[in-house]
Amino acid sequence: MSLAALVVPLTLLFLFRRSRNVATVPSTLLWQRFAIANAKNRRFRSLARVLSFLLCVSAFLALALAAARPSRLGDHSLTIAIVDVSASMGSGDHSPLERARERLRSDARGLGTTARFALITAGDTAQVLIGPSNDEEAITRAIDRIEPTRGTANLSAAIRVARGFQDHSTTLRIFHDGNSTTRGATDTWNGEVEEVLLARSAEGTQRDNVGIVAFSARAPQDAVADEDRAVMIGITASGAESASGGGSTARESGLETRRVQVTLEDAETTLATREVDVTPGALADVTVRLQVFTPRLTATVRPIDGRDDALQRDDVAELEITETVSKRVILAHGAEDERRAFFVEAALRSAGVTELSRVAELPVPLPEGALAVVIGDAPSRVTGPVIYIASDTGAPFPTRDLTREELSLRAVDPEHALTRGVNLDGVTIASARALEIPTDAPRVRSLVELDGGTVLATGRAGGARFVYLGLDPTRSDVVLRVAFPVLLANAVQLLTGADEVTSFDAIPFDEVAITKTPSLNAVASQPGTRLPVHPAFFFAGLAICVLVVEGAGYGKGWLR
Amino acid sequence: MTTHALTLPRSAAQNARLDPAASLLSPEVSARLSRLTVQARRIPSARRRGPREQRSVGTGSAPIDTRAYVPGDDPRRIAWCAYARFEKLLVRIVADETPLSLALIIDQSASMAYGAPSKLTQACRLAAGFAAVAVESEDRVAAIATARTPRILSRAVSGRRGLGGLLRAMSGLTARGLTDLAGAARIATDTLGGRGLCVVFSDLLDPRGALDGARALRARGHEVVLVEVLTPFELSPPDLSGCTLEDAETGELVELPSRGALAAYRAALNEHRDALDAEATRLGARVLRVSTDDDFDLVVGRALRAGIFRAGTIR
Repeated sequence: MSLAALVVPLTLLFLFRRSRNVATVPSTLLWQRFAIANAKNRRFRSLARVLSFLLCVSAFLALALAAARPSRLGDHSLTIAIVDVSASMGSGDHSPLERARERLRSDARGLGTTARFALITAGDTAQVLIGPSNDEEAITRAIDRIEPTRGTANLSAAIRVARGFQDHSTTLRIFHDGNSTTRGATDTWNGEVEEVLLARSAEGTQRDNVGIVAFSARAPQDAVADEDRAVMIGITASGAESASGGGSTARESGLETRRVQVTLEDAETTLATREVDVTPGALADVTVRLQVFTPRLTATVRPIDGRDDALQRDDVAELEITETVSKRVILAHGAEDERRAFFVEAALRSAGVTELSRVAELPVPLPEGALAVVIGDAPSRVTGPVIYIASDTGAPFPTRDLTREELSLRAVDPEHALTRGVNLDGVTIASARALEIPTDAPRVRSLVELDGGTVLATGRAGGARFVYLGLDPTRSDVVLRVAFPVLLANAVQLLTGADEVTSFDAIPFDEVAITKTPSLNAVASQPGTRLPVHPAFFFAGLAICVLVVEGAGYGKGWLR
Repeated sequence: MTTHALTLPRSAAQNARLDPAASLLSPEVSARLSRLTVQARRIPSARRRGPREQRSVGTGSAPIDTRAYVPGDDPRRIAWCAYARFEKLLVRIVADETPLSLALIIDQSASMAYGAPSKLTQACRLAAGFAAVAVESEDRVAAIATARTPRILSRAVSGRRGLGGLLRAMSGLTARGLTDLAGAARIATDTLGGRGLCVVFSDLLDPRGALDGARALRARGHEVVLVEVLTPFELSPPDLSGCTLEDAETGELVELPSRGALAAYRAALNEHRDALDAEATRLGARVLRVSTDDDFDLVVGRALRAGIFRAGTIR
């Protein structure tokens, strides 16, 4: 703006420079022979001078623009690419993810001078590989960093992150293989959305897949020793669906079952080998009873029916088990919370808790080494570690009921010990109570957030460690999932520091049972034009050119 | 843009129209001019025309002398009375009564409005003088004004009565528009009918070619006299370095260098005049240069030296 203010003195200077005495003479025939400029008439000269002035002003404005070092020019559109990096994207030789990379590289090359590009991967969590940028090299580097994960695609989280970059001309482009639904997720995006469905290189065979989706070790009810473990391996398979059968299950389509061999190993030896039939789209369980303590188990599945296995990374799952030290858990709940207590107790026992007592009110103080689990209202002060479940009164921080619109899962922190192995994808939540963590509570960590607030948090409050779970066990299907006992087991281990850890690494069910039929890409990239130089240099060069033209015109007399 | 009036002798608007009160030809001047004749070099008939007596056999009827007969003389011119008296064949010499056709072409363009008196006034005075000389020599005089559209001021006239009408026509001239000397040359040819003497009064600063008219006239066999009328400003202008000049006729603007304009102008003027003289010589035209502040007698003296006028008659 300060440079633009110089237009006024520049104009005055220009007018002063061009101000000359004008005299009328009988004839200019002789004067023309040595004149430095001539014009047809006053009108023509006025036009030439106006043109000259405009050229000067244009040159000055171009210089001002160059001085402002513009980084964007012309097409300022922003394209945000969200890439599904779920496990199924890595299937096959020429995987959908590799196709996505190729498309992204092509898009990056076709960026105009000022168009911007952002790249977000949608795995279990959203990760920004590069924010809005026009740097083709940086974008290419970001594209090279895209790798498939062992989880699912949290497209909702990725879109929420993308909303932070959105401006008036933003296009959201979602690359996925059709195995992750975008329905609902894109409803929250109030701009243009393009879905790029990435076909696998060869339909049918490449989509045949078997893999492990669940892997757990629990102390059985009839355990006779601490080392007794019932190891359960969940296997599923996809089917070679027809292109038109995207919405039907494998069983409905009459697809063939898969014959697989499951091997359970510890660090040194093979503990068990089983052969099972797996119905596509359904879960096949293999249970192995172990009577020796093994800290690390590895399950491997291999098709033995001669058909392909599209995804390799879901064929192996690992489980780590620490030595079980039985802890005493006191489960406190009111009479009205009996149903909730049922699910919680079952989950705790599934998590390996053997010494559990139910009470109406927590003893004060809490017995040494005991862990309190409070359902519903809690006492105002708890002297030991405690798990709050759907608590209001007595919760470490204020809570509030969430409305129906606030119950969508927004973010999960998968790195924390409490959420390790806890898969909440597709969980149904009908009621929840959010913990309103004050900003001055740095020792409290939010781990699971719904749209309305935090429903899983851990930290310290009042000198005691706590885990807060705001989900109502009776109004959510989380209690029917493996995630619930895993979560409680993690919570017990976190708060007491010595319980069994059932940490397993397996591919989610949806990623193994590739149920969606991908279609061919429908979006073609629109290559833009790229200036050979930076806009600042472009404007500077333009200004110099204009000044040279104006100077030459003035020197030649055309613009006098 | 600022406009500064230069110190010109008089503005163009002031001089655009001739002052009707100013007489183009005073009686004193007219009396002195009666002893002059207009000299035409290239027109044979013009060299022995009118009452100016020449020692040659003319086509008139008034005898002025006799000479000895030589074979080839017209026998009808033999003076038989003198033969009877002197017994020698003598031939009568009579005056050639074919009048000279004189066309006065006056540049009426806007550039002629400058000077004090204006170039147009000076040109009209000179033209009036030429007309007076011609009338006294019983020649026929026509006047054409050349502007954007040349027009005939006066068809060929002779005698003092015709001179009066011609002077009245010239006194009503107004300087305006552009110059078209070539067009005026065509009209002069039509007006004169035959070959004659054309006198062009102009500043000869016509950008389309000061000599176009002269070429056209020469091409039709006329003899041409160019009278260049300039103002003292044009002959010796002030230093206009750094000024922008606007052409009074065309409106064209020229921007002068910040210094050295005066010397360059003088060189350009000399070059222009040299080129004019060279072309006039090639065409066989004579050039008479006049300033607006020159006295008429001074101009007559130059015309006599240039052979345009001749004093007295040849006996």
